[in-house]
Amino acid sequence: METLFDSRIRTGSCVATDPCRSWSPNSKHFRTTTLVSPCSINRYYDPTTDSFISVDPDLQSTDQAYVFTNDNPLNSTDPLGQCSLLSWNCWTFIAKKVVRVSVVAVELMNGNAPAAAKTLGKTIGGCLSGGAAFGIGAIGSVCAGATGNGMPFFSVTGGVGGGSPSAFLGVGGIFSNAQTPSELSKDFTYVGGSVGEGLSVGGEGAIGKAPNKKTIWVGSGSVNVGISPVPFEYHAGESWTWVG
Amino acid sequence: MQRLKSLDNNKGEPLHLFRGGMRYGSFNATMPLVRMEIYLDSFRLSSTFRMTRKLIPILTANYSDITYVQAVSSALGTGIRIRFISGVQSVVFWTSKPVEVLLVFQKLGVEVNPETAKFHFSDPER
Repeated sequence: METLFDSRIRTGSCVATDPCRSWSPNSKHFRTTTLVSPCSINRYYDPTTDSFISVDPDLQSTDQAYVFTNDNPLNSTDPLGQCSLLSWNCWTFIAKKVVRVSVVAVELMNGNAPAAAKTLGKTIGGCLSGGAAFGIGAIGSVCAGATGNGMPFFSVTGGVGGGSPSAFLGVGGIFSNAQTPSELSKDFTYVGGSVGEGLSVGGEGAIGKAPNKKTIWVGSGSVNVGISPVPFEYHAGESWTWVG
Repeated sequence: MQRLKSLDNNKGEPLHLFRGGMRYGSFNATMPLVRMEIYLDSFRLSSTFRMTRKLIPILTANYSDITYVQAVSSALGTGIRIRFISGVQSVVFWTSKPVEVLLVFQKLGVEVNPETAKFHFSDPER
């Protein structure tokens, strides 16, 4: 079956693992074989009935489990599958998020990382990092902050892998879904890079399984000083983190 | 790595000293790894720190070899570009005080292009 969609439900946030649909970038429709997600990143959607077929993740505030854009699909969009941009519930939802981010920002400005991490439900922290590579390379960092349950931590990470020729030292922050220090204390597979001119900015992503089988991801960003024969570097490998 | 000109004789104390970074062809060193020493008739770019001395090339040039200097700006920093009459086209010295450096060059008789150029990451000579 091929179903035509109009622009109201087109989004760029496709779920790569969704086997039911493929997006044709040069046309204004999805090719579908069955009930599909309109590239919603949170819910599945049935275009034949203009409604979602999985429960609204924000059911508590919308009180409607399956309705698409408050039954107003012609005038409204719901790119994330969470709320209609024309509905009061949606703006309440967005306002809650804004308030939450503001609270976290204030807590961080007050130097209260444990409270900020607990409000956010994520690990946040600051790091000093460094690395060098010439084909093969090593990275290292020391971080301090708080995990999602509000517990402070101090961590040391070392990693080996491959990378483009470069040497750098940086200061930055980390963000992770780890809830406890023990979830963060483990081995990760990492990939990262930086681009430099007067200063260089870098980022890195790492993923691994906690002892409780939970998938832990860690993202980090930093401002670096360094040298590179080309004005960018990339690296990847395996790292180990010890948390105290 | 090509040297502009070897002027590594003993020139005494520089008139001015700036710390910054350097973009030379595709090579990049961020601030504050490079020092610029300004003498009466020439300038010299070299490593700020002893431990990075072998990694950062030494570049020297007489002011008579310079076409002009001008400020450059990029997403990640500001600096000055020094364009040469022949050989190496240009070198960028990353600095947070581009105006200060330009004024020093101007006082020493180097032509200064008053327009700030946008630095192109993929084409640094542009």
